Amino acid sequence: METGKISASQLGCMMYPVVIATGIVIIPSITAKYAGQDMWLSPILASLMGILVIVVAIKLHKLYPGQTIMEYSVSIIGKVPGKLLGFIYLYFYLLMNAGGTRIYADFVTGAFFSETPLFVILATIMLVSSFAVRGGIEVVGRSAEMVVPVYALVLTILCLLLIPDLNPKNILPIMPDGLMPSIKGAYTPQSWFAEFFVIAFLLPYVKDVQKAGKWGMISWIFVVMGFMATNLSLLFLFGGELTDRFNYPLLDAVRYISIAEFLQHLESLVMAIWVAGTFIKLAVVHYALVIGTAQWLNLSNYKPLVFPLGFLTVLVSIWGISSEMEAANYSGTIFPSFSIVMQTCIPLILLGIGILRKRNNSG
Amino acid sequence: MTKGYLHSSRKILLILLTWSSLFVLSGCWDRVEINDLAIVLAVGIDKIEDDQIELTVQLAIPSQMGGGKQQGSGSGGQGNKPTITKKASGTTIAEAASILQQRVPRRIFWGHNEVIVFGKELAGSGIREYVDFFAHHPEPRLRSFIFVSEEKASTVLEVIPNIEQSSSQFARELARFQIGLKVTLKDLLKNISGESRAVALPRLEYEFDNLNEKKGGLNINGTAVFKGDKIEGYLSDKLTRGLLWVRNEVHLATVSFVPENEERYMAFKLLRSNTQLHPEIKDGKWKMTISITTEDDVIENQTNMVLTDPKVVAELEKQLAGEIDERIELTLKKVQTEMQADVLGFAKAFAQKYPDEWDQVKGNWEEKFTEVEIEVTSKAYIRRLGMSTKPQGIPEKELNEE
Amino acid sequence: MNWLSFFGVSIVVLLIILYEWPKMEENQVKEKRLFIVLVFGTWVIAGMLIFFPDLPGPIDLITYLFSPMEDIIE
Repeated sequence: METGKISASQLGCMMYPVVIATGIVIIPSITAKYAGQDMWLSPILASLMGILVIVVAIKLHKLYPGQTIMEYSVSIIGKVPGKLLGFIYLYFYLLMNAGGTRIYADFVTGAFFSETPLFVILATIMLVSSFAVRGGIEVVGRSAEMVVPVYALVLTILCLLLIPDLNPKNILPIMPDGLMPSIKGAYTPQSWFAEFFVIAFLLPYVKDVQKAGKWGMISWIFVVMGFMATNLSLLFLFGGELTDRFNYPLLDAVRYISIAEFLQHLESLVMAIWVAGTFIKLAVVHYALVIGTAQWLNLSNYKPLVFPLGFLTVLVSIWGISSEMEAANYSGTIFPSFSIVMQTCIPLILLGIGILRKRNNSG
Repeated sequence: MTKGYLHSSRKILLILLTWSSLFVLSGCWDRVEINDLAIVLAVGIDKIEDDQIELTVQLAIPSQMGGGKQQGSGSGGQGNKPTITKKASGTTIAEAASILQQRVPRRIFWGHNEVIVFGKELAGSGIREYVDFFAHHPEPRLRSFIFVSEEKASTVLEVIPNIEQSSSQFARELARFQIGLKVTLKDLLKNISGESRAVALPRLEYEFDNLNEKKGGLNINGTAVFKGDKIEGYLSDKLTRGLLWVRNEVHLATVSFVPENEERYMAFKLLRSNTQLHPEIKDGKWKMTISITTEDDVIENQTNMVLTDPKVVAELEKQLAGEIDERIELTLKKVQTEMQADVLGFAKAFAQKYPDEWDQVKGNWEEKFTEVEIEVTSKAYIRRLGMSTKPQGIPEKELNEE
Repeated sequence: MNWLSFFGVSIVVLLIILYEWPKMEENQVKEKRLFIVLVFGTWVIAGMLIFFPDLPGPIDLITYLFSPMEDIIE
C-alpha cells in the first residue's frame, strides 16, 4: 500500500514537531498553574512517559515486524476485538489531530488574526498537511527533515535572546511542597510525550528500522530540551505565578525581547515556527490516521481517504466546541486521561499478551 | 475515451481551482496596511469621575516622523510636530478606546506602545483595574514602561519635547538610563500580585519652556510607592537612589561627599555594583542583611588630597562605603517605618529561602516587614583615578601628601 | 449566510471529488464506495454543523467519559 520508505533519522525529525509544536505554546501555562516555580521539573517527569511509549512501540514492532498497530492488534487479541480496538484507535487519532488543529487555530486567531473565521484557518493548514500526506510518507519525512532543524534553531535563538532579561532566582524555592505539584503539572505534558506512540504506525515504513530506537531517543532528548528551555526561560522571565496567568506565555515572552532597541517585535518568528511545526505535526498524525483507516478496512490504496478524512478532522475540531476555553479544557484535562488509556495502558497490555503468545507458540 | 474524460475533468478542475483562488487572493480578513494604522506611542490614563477614566493616546504622524526635519523649519512650528494626542473618556479603557476610534480615521494600533502613564488621581484610587487591559488585549507589549505622572497624565503626553521626537520617546529614554526606577508592564504585573503586595513606580514630571507651544521636557523625579495598587507616598530623588541600591538596579550613579579632615568635596562615579539580599530567620527573629559591593572611579577632586598612595585610597574606600550605607539607611527608614511598604524585594527573598515560615506570615507581611531587622554592609573599591593623579590647580607645596 | 456557507462547503466537497475520483483506478471498487460514503458523510456533518452549530460532537463523548478523571486530578 505504501511504497515509499523513510529513514530512521527522518522518523526522528517527524516526531519532534508532533510533540513540541502544539505543546510549546500551551504547556508552560498549564504546568505553571499546578507546579508554580517548579514548572521546569514537570517536563522532565512527563518525558519519562515518552521513553516508555517509544520502548513499547519498538518492542511491539519487534514482535510483529512490518506491521502497524492496526495489524498486530488483530494478531494479538483476535479478529473481532482487534478490529474493535483498531476503530477506537482511529477515533482517538482523529480526535487527537482535531484537538491539535484546534489549538493551532485558536492561537492564530487569538493572537494575530482575530477577525479571520476559525474555519478558514483550520481548513488552510489541513489542506497543506493533506497534500503532504497524499504525496506519501516520503514527502512528509522530507518536509520534516527540512523544517525541523530550522524550527529547533529559531526556538534556541529566541531563548538565547531572552537571556538579558532573565532572573534565575525565580526558580527558588525548589519544591517547597514536595514533588506533588510537579507531578500534577506533568499530567498534561505526559500526554504530549505519549504522542510518540504515533511511531507504531510509521515503523513498518522505516528503512533502517534497527536505528529507529536510537533516533526516537534523539528526538526525545531534543523535545525534552525544547520544553526545558522554554519553561525555564518563562520561569526566569515571568516567574511561575505570572506564567500561569497568560494564555500563551511564550508569545508574551518573545514580544518582551528587545536587544539594543533594535532586535525587537520578533513574534512573527513564533508565528513562523508555529505554522511550520504544526504543519508537520498534523501531516504526521493525519498520515497515521489515514494509513490506519486503510489498513482497518483492508484497502489497497490509502490516498483517496486523505482529503475526506482531513475534512472530517476539521469538522470534529469545531464540533461541539464553541469556545477557546472549552477547547483548552479538553486539551488540558480530558485529553490527557484519554491518552493514558490509549497510548500507554492499552499498548502495554498488547505488549504483555503479545510476549505471552510468542512464548507459548515457540514453547 | 477514458483518457478524454480524464483530460476534460482535469481541465474543469483547473479552471475551478483558478477561479476559487480569487476568493483567497483578495486577502485575509485581518489584512491591515501600515498606512491604515494609527500607531499609539504612549497611553495616559486619568481618573475624571467615580468610575470614569480619561484615556489619552499619543499617536505617531508617520509623514512627520523620521527626524532631520527640525532643521529646515527652524524651531519647528505647530504644523509639523511628529505626534498628536487624542482624548476620550469611558468606564473601561476599551470603551474609551472605541470612542477614540470614532475620531481617528485609522485603526488604532497598540503594538508599538512603549509608555503607559497613570495620572496622580488614578494612582490614588487604584490602578489594578486599568492594568488588565494591557495584558488582555493581544497587541500591547509587556515591555511598555510604566510611570506615574506628577499631575495629570494627559499633560505629560502633550509635552512637545525639545530634544526627542515625542514625549513617549523622551520618557522611554529616561527610563532606560535607570537614574530613576525602570519598571516595565511585566514587572508591574508581577509585583502587583506578588508576595510583597507593594509596587514602586517612577514619577514623571514635566516642565514647560514655552507654555503656549507646549514645548518643554520631562524628568523622572523620585518614586511613587504603592501599597497594593494605591499610592502610599513618594520618595524623593535622593531616597530613590537608596532604593535602587537595595534593588540592585543602580546603573548610573555619582556619589560625592566631604572626606574626613577635608573641607571640599570629592566625587566618585559608579562603574558597577552588586547588591545581594541575605534573609535570615533565627529564633523567630527575621533579619535581612543587604550586602553591596561597588566599584568606583574618582571623577572629581576638590580637595587637596593626593590619591596615589594606596593607604589614602583604602581610607577613602571605607568612607565611600559608609556614605552609601548612610544613604540606604535613610531610604530604609522611610520605606520600612513610615510607609510600611515592601518595595525592596524582601518578601520575595524570604519566600524563596524560607517557604514554610513565609506561609505563616503571608497574611500579615506588612506588619512583619516593619519588624525585620536590617543590616547594611557595603564594600567599595576605588579602581582608578581618572586622568589626573593629583588635584589640579593647586600649587605643589599646598598638596596634602602626608 | 448559512446557505452561503453550505454552498461553500459543497464546493469544497465537489473539489475533493473532482480531484480524487479520476485518480482512482477502475478496479478499486471498495475504495470508491468508501470514498463516496466518507465524502457524503462529511458533507452531511458539515451541513448539520452549519445549521445546528451547538450539536454535541465526538469530543463531547470523550469529555463525558473522562470528566470523572478530571475531578481526581484537581
